[in-house]
Amino acid sequence: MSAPAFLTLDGVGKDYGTVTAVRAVSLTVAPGEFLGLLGPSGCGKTTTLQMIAGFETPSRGHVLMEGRDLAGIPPAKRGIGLVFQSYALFPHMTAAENVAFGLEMRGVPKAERAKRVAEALAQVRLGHLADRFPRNMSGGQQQRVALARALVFEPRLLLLDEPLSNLDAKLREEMQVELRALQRRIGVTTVLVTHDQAEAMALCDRVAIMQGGRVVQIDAPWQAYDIPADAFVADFLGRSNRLPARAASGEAEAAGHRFSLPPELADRHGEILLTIRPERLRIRCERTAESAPGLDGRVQARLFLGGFWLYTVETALGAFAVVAQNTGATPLDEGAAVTLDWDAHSLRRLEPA
Amino acid sequence: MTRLDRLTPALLTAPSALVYAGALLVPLAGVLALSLHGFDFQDGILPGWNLANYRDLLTDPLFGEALARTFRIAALTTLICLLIGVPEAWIIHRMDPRWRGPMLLIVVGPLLVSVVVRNFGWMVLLGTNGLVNQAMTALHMPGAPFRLMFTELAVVIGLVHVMVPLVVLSVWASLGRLDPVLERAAISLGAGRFTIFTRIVLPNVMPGVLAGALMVFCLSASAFATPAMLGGKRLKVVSSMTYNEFLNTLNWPLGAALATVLMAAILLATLLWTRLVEKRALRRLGEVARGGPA
Amino acid sequence: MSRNGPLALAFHALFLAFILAPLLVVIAVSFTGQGYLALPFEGLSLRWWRAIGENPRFLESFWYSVRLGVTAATLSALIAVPAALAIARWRFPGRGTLVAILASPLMIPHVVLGVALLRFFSGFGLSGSFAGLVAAHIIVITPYMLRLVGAGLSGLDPRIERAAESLGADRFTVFRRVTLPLIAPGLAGGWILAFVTSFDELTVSLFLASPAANPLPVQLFNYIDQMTDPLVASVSAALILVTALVLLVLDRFYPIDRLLTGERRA
Repeated sequence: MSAPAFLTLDGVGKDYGTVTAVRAVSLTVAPGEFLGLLGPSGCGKTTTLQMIAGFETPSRGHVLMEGRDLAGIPPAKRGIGLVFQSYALFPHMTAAENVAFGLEMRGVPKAERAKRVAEALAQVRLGHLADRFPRNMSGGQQQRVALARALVFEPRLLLLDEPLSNLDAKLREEMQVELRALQRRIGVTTVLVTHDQAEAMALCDRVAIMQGGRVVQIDAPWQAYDIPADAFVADFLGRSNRLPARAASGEAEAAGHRFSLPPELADRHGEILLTIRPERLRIRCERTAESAPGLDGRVQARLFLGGFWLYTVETALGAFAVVAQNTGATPLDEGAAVTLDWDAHSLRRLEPA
Repeated sequence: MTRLDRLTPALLTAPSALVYAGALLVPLAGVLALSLHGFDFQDGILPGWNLANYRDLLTDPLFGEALARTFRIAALTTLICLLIGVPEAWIIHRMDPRWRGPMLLIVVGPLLVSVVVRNFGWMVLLGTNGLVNQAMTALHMPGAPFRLMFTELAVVIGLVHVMVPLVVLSVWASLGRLDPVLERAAISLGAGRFTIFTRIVLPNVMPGVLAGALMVFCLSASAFATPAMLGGKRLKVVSSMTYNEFLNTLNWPLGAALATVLMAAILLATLLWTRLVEKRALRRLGEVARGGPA
Repeated sequence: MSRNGPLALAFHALFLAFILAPLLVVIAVSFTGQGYLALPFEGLSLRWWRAIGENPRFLESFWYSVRLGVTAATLSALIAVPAALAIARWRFPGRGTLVAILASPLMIPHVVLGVALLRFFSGFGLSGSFAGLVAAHIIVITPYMLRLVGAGLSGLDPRIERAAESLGADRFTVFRRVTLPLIAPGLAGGWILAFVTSFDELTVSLFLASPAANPLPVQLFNYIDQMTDPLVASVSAALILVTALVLLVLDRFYPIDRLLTGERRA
């Protein structure tokens, strides 16, 4: 077994009257790990974060940090660094004063405070804005001040509540890279709440996908992406294509089209729900004589996404999303006749909804 | 912009502008003019302009006393209103939303009751045999029953009662603009309740506090009903002196001079306050924080 | 929001007691069976309440104040609404000055106003008349009307009016069918606040009153000046109760804090 868990949630749940926001969440976070709580709005991820921070009291279950139950310990005493969605910088204080606040509350003497504040601001590359007020800073700068403020007193745990959602797309990408690098450098255990699956997959060591107040799957991002636990996860993480079929003796059949099943599904019989990622589908314009039999279709729409093309292809088995890398070659036209094929081991099985 | 467009604002604002010009600006100018005339009990208002009234006032020890009393009462009232009004606004702000509305209603509602009625209530409470003295006597306070009515103390109590809801409202408006997440951020950084109030909340509601303070000071300095009812005829403030000259002595020019001095004092206080205190205190919050009703 | 500690709640209770004390005392004393003001008293009775009906002066003053308030508030609305519209929708030269002047009565001591208007109106023979009082009250209450209508307008997205125009409505129709209904809450709140302010106004009225023009606060003030018998208490108590009723009704439609600060309705 790996190192003892730093943070443990044991059957943690929260009810508001008759409404259950969080059913029972059990998970562990290793020291230094970057965990994501990912899910659509209303899934309970923010409530869970608030319970870890201590702003909400669990209706059941326990939150343990380094083996110690946090119940009864007020948020001010938990030593947790929080970054809020709206940054919550104190408008009447400069960046430096904002960052110094946590140190002040801990009775750190003035000289040492100044030193540590300077270091913290340098760490987020904002040393030159120390005396500026939040209203005179851009969103990205405010966000970094909020980070510095949460990190300066060396918290044992860092909680991020959708910290990047107020930034525009380009800035968000840049901040994601910085955030990941910063966390790696400092090594603080971090929990991030986000509804953005791309962000969660990019930043986190492991992702806990939540739906309806429950954790549906908790895995490293690429594992959850490759082997989704259910249809919800398959659809939520990236894009996926549904393929209902009938299985028999290692083969599947749908709408008159036959294709092989991967070895792990070889002994399946009867109705089966398969899924395949758009980037695992190969698309070609013409059918060569000796190429594997493919699925014929027509390009219904295409989207240019910079690094790749996203085609929607109408076939006898329904509409497929296909991702093709942008090699600089001429893209396929809308309305073009195409053939799709794939490797059998790219198929995954899903529990029917 | 069409010609009609250019004309429209003028047409829309004309009625109010005319009413104000006729019923406010001209009369006020008239007061200033009147104050520059002499007065004689036999002949009434004398022709000829001079500053005699102002000279008389500024050398009159009774006027000096009344002026000092006016500002003393106003300053004391403002101080007490701030000391109890600001925390009260914060306390209501932190209440369960169910209670907030009714509580605010109770605190602010009396503003809609006439000052005459409220002061009458204090007259009953503060009389020699009033409830307050009865309580004092029952508690065996040395010196009870006290003479509370017709003292400066009574006037201050009455004024605080009238003015403190205004401070609560002013601070409340500022509190409404305060980002609620700030409190959580401060907690997550380890701040206790008192620190949050003094280091986070108070600096950010300063605009409301300062605006409220100025309003209370000016209204208290110019108050008439409360000093008249609770202070009596012997405790003179500038407004009651003005009333007296105008309606009893009928020395209108002197009354007009008194009114002008009162007006000037209020304007001066406002200017000084805005320039010195507000500008300095609000530097940290920037002009945005001074937002108010349209 | 976090809860208040016991110290805070105790402070709050004392504060409320302070605020309500004079009002409750007045109501209590109004039920005395005795002929003089004393608390506590012996003998609960409604005699002083009945006395209101038997005392024509107070009733007359009451209705006079009502007529005065309704007239002043309505006329104030008629001049304030167009002005508020102009201020909210157009940037014209002198706008800032106009706003300051229209709000100025809030900063002018009522004694000064009373002096100025008594002097000015005497010249026209308006002193001691209904018209004079109406004019004076309009000056006093219009700032409140402006503030509330202005707040209502600022909460109104101008693009809604532009949409109406783009659909073919002329300016006047836009005002009648779109703007007016949407600012109605602010307008109603402003009218009520203006009315109450006029009804309660003492100082300015004192300067312009006469035996024929006698609003209720003036009547009460003079009565208290000369004698204090429980009739004042019952009249005052009646006023408190009516105000409380108006407050409760008002609060249903327009939260009281927004009413008095002029903030936009959330």
